[in-house]
Amino acid sequence: MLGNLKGLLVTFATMIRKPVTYQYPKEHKPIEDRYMGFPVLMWDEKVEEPYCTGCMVCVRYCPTQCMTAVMKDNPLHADGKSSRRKIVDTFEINLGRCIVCGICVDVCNFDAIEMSHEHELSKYARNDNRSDLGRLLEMGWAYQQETGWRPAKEKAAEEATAEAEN
Amino acid sequence: MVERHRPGHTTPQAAVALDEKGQALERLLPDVLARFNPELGAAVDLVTATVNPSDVAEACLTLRDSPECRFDYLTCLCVVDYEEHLQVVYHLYSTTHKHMMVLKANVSPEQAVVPTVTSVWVGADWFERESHDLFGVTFDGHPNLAPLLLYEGFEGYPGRRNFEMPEYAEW
Amino acid sequence: MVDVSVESQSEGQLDTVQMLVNMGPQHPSTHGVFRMVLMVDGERIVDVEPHIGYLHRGSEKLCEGEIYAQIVTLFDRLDYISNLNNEMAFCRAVEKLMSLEVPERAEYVRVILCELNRVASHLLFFGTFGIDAGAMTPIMYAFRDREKIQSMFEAVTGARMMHNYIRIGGVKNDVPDDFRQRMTALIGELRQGIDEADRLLSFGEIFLARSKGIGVIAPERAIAYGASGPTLRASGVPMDVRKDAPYSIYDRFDFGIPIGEKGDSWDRFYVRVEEMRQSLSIIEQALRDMPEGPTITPTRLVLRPPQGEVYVRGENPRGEIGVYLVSNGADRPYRVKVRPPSFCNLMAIRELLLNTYVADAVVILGSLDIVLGEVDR
Repeated sequence: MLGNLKGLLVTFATMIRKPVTYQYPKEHKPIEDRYMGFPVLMWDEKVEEPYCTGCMVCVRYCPTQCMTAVMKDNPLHADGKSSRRKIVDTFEINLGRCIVCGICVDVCNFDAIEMSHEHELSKYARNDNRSDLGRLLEMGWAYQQETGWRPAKEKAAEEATAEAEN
Repeated sequence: MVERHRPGHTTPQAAVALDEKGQALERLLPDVLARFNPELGAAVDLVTATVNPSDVAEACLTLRDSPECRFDYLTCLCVVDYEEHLQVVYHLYSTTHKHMMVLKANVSPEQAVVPTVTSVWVGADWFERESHDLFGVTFDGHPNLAPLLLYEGFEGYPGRRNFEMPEYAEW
Repeated sequence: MVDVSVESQSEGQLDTVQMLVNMGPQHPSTHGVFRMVLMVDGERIVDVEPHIGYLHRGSEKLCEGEIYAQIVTLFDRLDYISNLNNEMAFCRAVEKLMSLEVPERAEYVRVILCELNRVASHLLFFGTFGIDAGAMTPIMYAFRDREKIQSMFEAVTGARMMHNYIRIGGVKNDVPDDFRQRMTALIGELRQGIDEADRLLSFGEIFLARSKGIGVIAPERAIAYGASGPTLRASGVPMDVRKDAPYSIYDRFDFGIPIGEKGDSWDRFYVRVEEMRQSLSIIEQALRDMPEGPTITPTRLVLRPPQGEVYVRGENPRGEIGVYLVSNGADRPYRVKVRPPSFCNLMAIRELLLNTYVADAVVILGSLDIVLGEVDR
């Protein structure tokens, strides 16, 4: 009897406490900085082109083979505007297949792919989760705006110069 | 498995480093298993003993009951397909002496029969059924070798290396 | 789902027939897709036939076709309640094979996160076991606290469940700057939460009546079945890989191994509750001693460990995990075999269930705390 009463006491004590739940579709739990959502492609504003060169290293190391990429010659390079000789032509990620492991980000040599904070999977049509280059860049741009993302190489270089100055 | 043959390249071997308990076992095992003519070796930090497949059950019983060994806990039982032969691997642990060893038996893929060890450790039951499922090793004397992980009527042994994986189409 | 065979009743007396009850695979109390065929005589179980394999994904076979860095993601999905412990087991196997040193700080981060994962896993058990025994409220308390742990994981690893954080040679990246403060606060909250949940459920008379003396397994039988973890310790066998063969840096911490007395469902339950407290104390000690330094030994992306075979043991929330790794020197393992703790614990289900009541079957199965993802692999 005593054990049950003790249990009831806990229940009563909870009544005077603030609820800890979030009413999901209306309110969202705040997302942590490091949160890994879907992989997205980054946009280089300086040259107005994606960072991705379509080198396919992420495609090769993806454990679920959820990506495809095609490379093309960069027209901007011919004009002398960009240092990238090759650029991505088409890129597709099947977000329904992606397991958000982050291996693509680790292997990328150009800081072109990044885990965004995007995580909503529900779509209107079955194939809507197959995201093409345009959509990936759009999601990536949103992420860049949201977090002020800058490529790791650029950041590292800046830090190095800052240290050298000090 | 595609072997890579690079000129002048030899595959390095894992370093063997037995601890005190392992060394004690290494000295002990030839006497305990003398009857079965074991081939002793070492894998990184564990002593291995390879015996004839027909002797497995008796060897296990000896290892479990000999007072110096007391391997009363079957940690893991698995089959490795080395293509020319299948290797049944028993990882044994003693809850009293807290030491560990590996018992191995090589069988041919065509005639893969090993006596069951369910009478020695009850816990071998599902491990043996699983190995029968995936590798087609028959455990002689096992009370119920019905498929465990696969469904009834599954053809082939998916654990073996020559098993042809079906192709899937993305939809 | 009930197959009743009716036989004619003879004059004046009631003939009883045995009945086949099919429990699962889509039964809420089977914690996944586990099926038991129960032969019952009235309310009493006279025969049990467990069926597993509904979630068999061939993980071990898949490992043979992936490079070592990718396999960590497969290990996340074995025991999907305690992902970090699984990752750690695999990474330790590769490190042992390659004789790779792990930086000190990485070891501490690993241990802190693994112990936190143990608490999260046991909290899930706490809630679901309450439901199995008919108490609907405890899961709310357990999940409230588990949610905080998940948020902590999100802050450190970037994912709430499938982390891919522990890498071969260390961990993916260093912990965030406010890690220590947040962890200290979290431990305090968890202590309180666990005590509260404990008061709510553990000693309630109804709960005791449902779980005390139900599903008793003797220590020698548990050992013969290869049971491990809380299931074995509840029977009074103080076997814990963290103590018996200390791996990582577990030999530096002072912690106890709670053991049960009778080996019944309640003991299996309470051993886990006590274990949560011990885990929290390990985390506190680890946080206190955590050194500064690098968190990963740089390795090549495509590893080629030397030829050989290795077996590592680790203590998962559910028991002893074993990873048997055979390498032939290539970039993909030759064979990976996982010794899943739940698989061995579940093997004892037949012996546990014989001669008990159908209603207790749910409690006994719940007390084993199985995860079908690792039973079927």
